[in-house]
Amino acid sequence: MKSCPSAEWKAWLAENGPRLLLFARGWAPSREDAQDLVQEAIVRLWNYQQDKGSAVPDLPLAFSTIRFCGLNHHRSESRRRKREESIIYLNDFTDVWLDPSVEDDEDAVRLRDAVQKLSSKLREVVTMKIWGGLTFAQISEALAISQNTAASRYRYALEQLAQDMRRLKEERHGIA
Amino acid sequence: MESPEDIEKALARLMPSAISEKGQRSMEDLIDSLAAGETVAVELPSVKKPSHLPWFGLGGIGAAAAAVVVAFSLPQGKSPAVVENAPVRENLPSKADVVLIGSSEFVEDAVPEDWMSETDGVPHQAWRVRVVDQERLRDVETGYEVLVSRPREEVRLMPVTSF
Repeated sequence: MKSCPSAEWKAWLAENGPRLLLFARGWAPSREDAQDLVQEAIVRLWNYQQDKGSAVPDLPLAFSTIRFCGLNHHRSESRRRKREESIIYLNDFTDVWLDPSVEDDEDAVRLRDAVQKLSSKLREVVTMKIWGGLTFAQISEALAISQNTAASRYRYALEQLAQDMRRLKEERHGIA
Repeated sequence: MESPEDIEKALARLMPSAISEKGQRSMEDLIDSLAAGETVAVELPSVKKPSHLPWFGLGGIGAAAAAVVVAFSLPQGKSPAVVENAPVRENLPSKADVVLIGSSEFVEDAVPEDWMSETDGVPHQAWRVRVVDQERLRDVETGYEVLVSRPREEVRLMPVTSF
């Protein structure tokens, strides 16, 4: 007898929704659009999982599905439109990224801003690793890149963030 | 925090924000619809706002009632672009006594995309096509016929034969 999987999917969504939304933000100009992207991915994932007894999907598949949906959206838009969206995205970023408990942490805010400025290739690896909890093997599967490339992008992103933070700290001390 | 290890720890303290209450509810409704056995066809993301998804992509009689449905006596003429599927007579998995008497699909619009692909040495041009699936249904009790139209968009790769 086949059990109704909706409860499992809802629980899966409750657990993973924020990290999926965060990843989708890299492909959407606003939080609402990112939610739409997640929703769209859920429909696709549901169809994918039909052959697997409607089991909830694993995270690498979910990330790669969101990425696929995001790529398709971007592909149909002009470069000018992309630039406009990027500006909106950066301006809108502040409202949704941080947990309110760390809003007062100046370093956290600066770090958030630095993450925001990472290239999309670096940011998606960081997002999957830090907030998705994926291994480099899983990231490489989701992004169709080698594990070495995934690990290299991650290390490069951390180094770039560290460099940005050092520079910002020096500027701050310089001003003081 | 200047070392990459410090950065890693600091990043882990930043928590992603939650999906909004409205968004969460919408997605849960979507999951309920999917679990109820309603078919949701998504070929490629629509150009329209995906927020229409909960009802826009839903098939079946229940969704048809909520979707844009044009109920009228069907015209006899057919568009040359229409691909008429073989008429079928089957009871839909619905409690209503509605019979599917025919289905068809036609390409309403096709716009070339700005990217190409190559397969086995043959260049392919991407086209974003707008396809409309139509189903003709009859309510057994009243005799009314209903035409359900479900437009969708997808990208198709077409071989390039001339330059």
